[in-house]
Amino acid sequence: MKITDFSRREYLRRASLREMRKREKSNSKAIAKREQRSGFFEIKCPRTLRLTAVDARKKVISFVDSIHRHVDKGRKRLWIDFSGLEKVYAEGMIFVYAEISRLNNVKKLDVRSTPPKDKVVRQVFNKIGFSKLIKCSIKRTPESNRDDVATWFCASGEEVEGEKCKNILEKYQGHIATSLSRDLFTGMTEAMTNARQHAYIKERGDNLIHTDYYKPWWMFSQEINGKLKVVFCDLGLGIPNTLPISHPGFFKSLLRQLGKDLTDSRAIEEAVTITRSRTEQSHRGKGLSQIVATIDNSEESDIIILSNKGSYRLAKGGDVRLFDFSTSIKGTIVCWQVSLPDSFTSAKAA
Amino acid sequence: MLNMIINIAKEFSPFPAGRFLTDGPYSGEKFREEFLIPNIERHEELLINLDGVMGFGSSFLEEAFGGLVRRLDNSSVVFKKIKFISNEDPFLIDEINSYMEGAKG
Repeated sequence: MKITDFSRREYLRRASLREMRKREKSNSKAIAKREQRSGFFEIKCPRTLRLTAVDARKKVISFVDSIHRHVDKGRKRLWIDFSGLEKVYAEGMIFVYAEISRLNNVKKLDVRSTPPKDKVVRQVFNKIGFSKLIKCSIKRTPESNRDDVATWFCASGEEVEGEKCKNILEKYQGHIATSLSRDLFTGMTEAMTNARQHAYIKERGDNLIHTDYYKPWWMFSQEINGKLKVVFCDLGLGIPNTLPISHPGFFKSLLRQLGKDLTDSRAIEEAVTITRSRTEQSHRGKGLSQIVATIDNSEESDIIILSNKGSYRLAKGGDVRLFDFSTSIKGTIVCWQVSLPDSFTSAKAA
Repeated sequence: MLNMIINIAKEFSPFPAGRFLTDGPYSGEKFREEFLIPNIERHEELLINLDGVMGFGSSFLEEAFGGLVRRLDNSSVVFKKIKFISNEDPFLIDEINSYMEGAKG
């Protein structure tokens, strides 16, 4: 009986010791985590990075705004928690990438982060170099070979550099029509030229003052469901704000004609159709129409231009859809989506 | 002087893009200033080979060829001396001609 009492007491003592050690370990982990993050201001990323759906877009923009608010208050040490991020769309990812990259470049921030729990999103972060930007170490896992990860490609710059399109396009040469490849090259380089000459002609109005010659752009490509998606982003004034500067006369007559109906999406549509430039010289300003003309050489293709609050979508066949969101991205994102031939997708599968 | 052939892809860049020198390394202005202007006076005919290039944006073409017409006092020389080869994109020559015509003012 005594022996049983003793072994029971001993069992309880050891169990209590084990529990204490466990608690100490978990406490020390929490303390280490707290210490690691002390002095950093924490911001939580939403579950989805997407700009073409109303609710998701609001959350993405609110997330980016909260980063800006910290920076406006002079805070440079930021901890971004990506653990809850489950899905990224190219246009949402490029927007967040561009914003953090620009803030980091201008304000020399110390950005650290918690990586996403989602294994696929983690590998996308690695593939596009985002993990480096947010100082988060992510190990390579088998998910990195998946098609929805391996086909992501990222480029960025401040000048018009045609060579940077090569890495995106050379993989498809011989598979897509030469005319389409040429048109995509033209669209991408004209978008770079527009960023260089028009997008940054005035300050963006986000309290972030930088040198006149800093005119950054970012570009992603991704293969998705048999289509090649190329996304180009600048964080300039946005087309609705450059239109009154580039075409003052035209803008005034539009304003008289449309009044409050001159929304951001309508302004993008008008900017696509006019060919005169901001210098009022007829030989300039054809870039935007060339950016849009890219889809003429590909079936089942479309182009979406997101600029400030507006969204302009043009599908093959000339079907135009306009939409205005309540929140602005304060910049311009062009998304080309062109179908890849069956020969290319089946060659990959083989 | 004899004729001269300029192969843009081989002698300038297979990735020409941008309008002004400040835009980037292979802009239309750079091509005009370094290849077209120095050679147009010295040769009877300039044959520009447009093949082998990844693509041409309107900014590059307009500044190079439309800009050449604006830049020279006697713009008729440009129309007389410059000829093009474009086997890969037959519409390209018409596009360039429209920029040159538009630059006459």
